[in-house]
Amino acid sequence: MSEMLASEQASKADTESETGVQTEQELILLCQQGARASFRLLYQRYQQRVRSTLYQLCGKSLLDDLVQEVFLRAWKGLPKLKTTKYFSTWLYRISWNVATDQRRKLARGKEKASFNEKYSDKERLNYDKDLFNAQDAPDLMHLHYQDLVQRGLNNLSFDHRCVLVLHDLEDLPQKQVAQILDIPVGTVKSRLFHARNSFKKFLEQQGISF
Amino acid sequence: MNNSHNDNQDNLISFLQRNQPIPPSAYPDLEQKIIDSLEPRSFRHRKYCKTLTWTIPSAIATGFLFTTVSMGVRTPRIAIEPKDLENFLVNNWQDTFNTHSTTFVEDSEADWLLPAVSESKQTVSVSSK
Repeated sequence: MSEMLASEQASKADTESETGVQTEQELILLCQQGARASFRLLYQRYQQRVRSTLYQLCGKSLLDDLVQEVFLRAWKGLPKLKTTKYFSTWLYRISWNVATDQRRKLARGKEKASFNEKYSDKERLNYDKDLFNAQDAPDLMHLHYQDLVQRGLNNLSFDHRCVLVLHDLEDLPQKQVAQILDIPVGTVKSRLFHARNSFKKFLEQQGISF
Repeated sequence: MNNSHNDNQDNLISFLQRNQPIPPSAYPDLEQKIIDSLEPRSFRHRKYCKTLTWTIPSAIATGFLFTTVSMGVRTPRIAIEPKDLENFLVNNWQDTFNTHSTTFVEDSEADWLLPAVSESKQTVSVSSK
């Protein structure tokens, strides 16, 4: 009986979600009952944030696979999510887990080259190519700064990078960062302090000072 | 000093936000690929798990109740009064004795079944002496 009710609700949600605007909590509840269309809406709402976080933590390689992994884990884990208002924190936590797993894989040498090497070899070449092509473009400096930020992030330890990305780039409050990383707020503050200092030093070495 | 430090921090953060690396656009079919690879929710499995969770403890409880009712709650009886203990010992010893006496009686009965003639003969012989 409850199975039928759930599937009815899910199919109802499928038709509703095509037209009506639903709150996030409604979407999550429908996803918990198996509504794929509602999950598509959740994906559309969050994919940019997840993508950007993963890109800053893991780089370009396997980015699509990592995004897919995050959303598949989210779909699997959604029925167990009790407090729907923490969905965003929970999704960032999954992203962080996926990034950590990827980093471990790289460290174990499953991938033939580490991310930094890949970046320095392949992406650096692409970047130089972009720079060469965009020589007359007005946003040449912007491209250069973007490269510096990317390299600066790679220069940080993974723990420091995570805190800096979530707090300074994703603009999340320190309390939420602490919840995502499962560490005390004090540790977030301390890591943030050290990460910013390291980043500043790196930029100074590149000729940029504040 | 503190103000300049804060300004430096703000400048750094705004620099990072302005120039944060933009991820490359996703593979065009990624969204559909993700939706297609979602596993259907298994309500049956969850229902089965729930049923199993309730069935096992209730079966144990029923078994326990059944055993208690059918066998009764047995507590060992202890002879507190010396008189009870004495009675108990006497009865048990008597039982042992009774068992013994029964065999004795059986033996004697077996003897009794022997022909009485020889007995009488013996008697006679004794008396003749």
